[in-house]
Amino acid sequence: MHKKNIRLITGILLIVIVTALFIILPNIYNNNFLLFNIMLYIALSEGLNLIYGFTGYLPFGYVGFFGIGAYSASLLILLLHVTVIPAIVLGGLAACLVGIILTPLLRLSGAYFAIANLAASQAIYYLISNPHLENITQGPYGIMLSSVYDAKASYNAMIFVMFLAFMLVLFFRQSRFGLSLLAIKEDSITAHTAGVNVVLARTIAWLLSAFIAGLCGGVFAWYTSVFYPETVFSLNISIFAIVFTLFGGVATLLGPLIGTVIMYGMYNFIGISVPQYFELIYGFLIIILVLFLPNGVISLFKKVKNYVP
Amino acid sequence: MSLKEILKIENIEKHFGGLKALNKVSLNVYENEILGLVGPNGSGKTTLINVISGIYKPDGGKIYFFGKRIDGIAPYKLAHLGINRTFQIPKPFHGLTVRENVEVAALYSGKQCLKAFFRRVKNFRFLDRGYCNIEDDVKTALSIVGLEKFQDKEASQLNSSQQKLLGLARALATKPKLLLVDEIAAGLSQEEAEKIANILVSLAKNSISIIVVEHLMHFIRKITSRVVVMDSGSPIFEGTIDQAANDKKVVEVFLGG
Repeated sequence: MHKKNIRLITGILLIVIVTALFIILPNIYNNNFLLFNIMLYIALSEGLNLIYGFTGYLPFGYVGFFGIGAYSASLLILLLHVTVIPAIVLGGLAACLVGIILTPLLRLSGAYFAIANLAASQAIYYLISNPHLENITQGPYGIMLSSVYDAKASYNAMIFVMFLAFMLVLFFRQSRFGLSLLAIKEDSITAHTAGVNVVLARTIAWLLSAFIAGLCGGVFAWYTSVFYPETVFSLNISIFAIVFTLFGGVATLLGPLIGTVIMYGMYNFIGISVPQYFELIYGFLIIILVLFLPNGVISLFKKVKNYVP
Repeated sequence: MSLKEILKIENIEKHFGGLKALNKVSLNVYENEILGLVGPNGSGKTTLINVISGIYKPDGGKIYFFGKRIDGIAPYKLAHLGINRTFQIPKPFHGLTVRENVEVAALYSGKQCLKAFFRRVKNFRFLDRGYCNIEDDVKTALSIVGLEKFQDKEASQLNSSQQKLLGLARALATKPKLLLVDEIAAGLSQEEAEKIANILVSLAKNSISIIVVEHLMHFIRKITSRVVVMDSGSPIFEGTIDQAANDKKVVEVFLGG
């Protein structure tokens, strides 16, 4: 009980500090775009952590929810003239809806789930970018949201989404619901006999995870205001979120945060300073991670593991 | 019998492809009793446990628990109703601590927490933390099996007999009225088996009925007198353990005629 309380306090402190940092930083540091992207990937990694970290399902097609969020929010704004914030929330809900349609995938396990989820996200991508749907989705020609462009407001919206993702992960980390998810991850049959409604618990985690990705997509669309289907359905987004989460350490609040800050920071640093060595260095880092820290940076804190939020 | 029957199994069947793992099995379990389920390998003992605990759906027949039909119900619902089990090969949640292992199960004992939560919402007492106090349940379950001192250890660090005890504690945390124990003594030392036998006997005294599947006859003898002997998916004998030893059919099955 004691440990849990310490974890809760450090977790809340961490969330407050990181959120405050991103509120203050634009005044000091002028690369707003980089700050936005770091927040975006923190939120995506934490969102992916909800499903991957706590239930063990690896959603390779996570980007599908992101794209659905971006497109749903944009189309609601453009076609139905919904105001921006409700449109983004509805975008998140649209991602949930797709999540509900995809729940049968949860019957698969391991690599099969990852592959099926990847295929599903690609199917959605081809559906949306289909030239025959030009009148609705504008097909492969992309979306222009410049009418509602607002750099400051969309930046703030991203802060909020990141905050929400943090809070959800903290809830999972601290609550008995999160504990039963971890039990399912370990052994679903035993969890069943322990009285956990496995299907329901998994579905809740899956939908919350989809919701976060959908919100991220909507806010991203608002912030960039011009994007193409391949931008918001880029597999790199899935891969980044997965690598960042793994690098930091799953099923914790701190892990994906550390992972994103280090890996995305390095991605930008190397990408700008020595772009010719970028892939070499990045690949090397990932190999080192897999070899020496398969459980992520968090595993370095083994002694205090139970205190890490 | 004047005793109240809590579990009534009627003509349960289970096939795996062409194999009839259970062929019209009928038996009763009474209040506060330990029923020994014995038989050679492949006789369908574990399959029967799996059917009762909901892991397999039966292909035919009926099961009643306190008069309510329960065959084919999902395992988690059976856990809420008061049927729980241990596994032959212990399956702890390795990454969680011993405490957390039991906590997961205690949480769902009869959905008490959920009900209490709604009561709290209804009465506008949101800050009342006492709504779901499972601490005591966890403590009790751990102390029954004697694992309190390991409660902060990770389950993967326990040895195999401790893992079996943990499985038992987890089952007890759901406050079962019927406990299915699948080959718990196999691979344990004499003292460890003795300890578990004492635990099971005291549980039965505290109004938990138990079905024990076991190969080790001396273990069965220690905890119960009533046994059902199974062979090739059907019960061939029901009675006391001493009668079983003198039954021609039973002897034939065990010694190969």
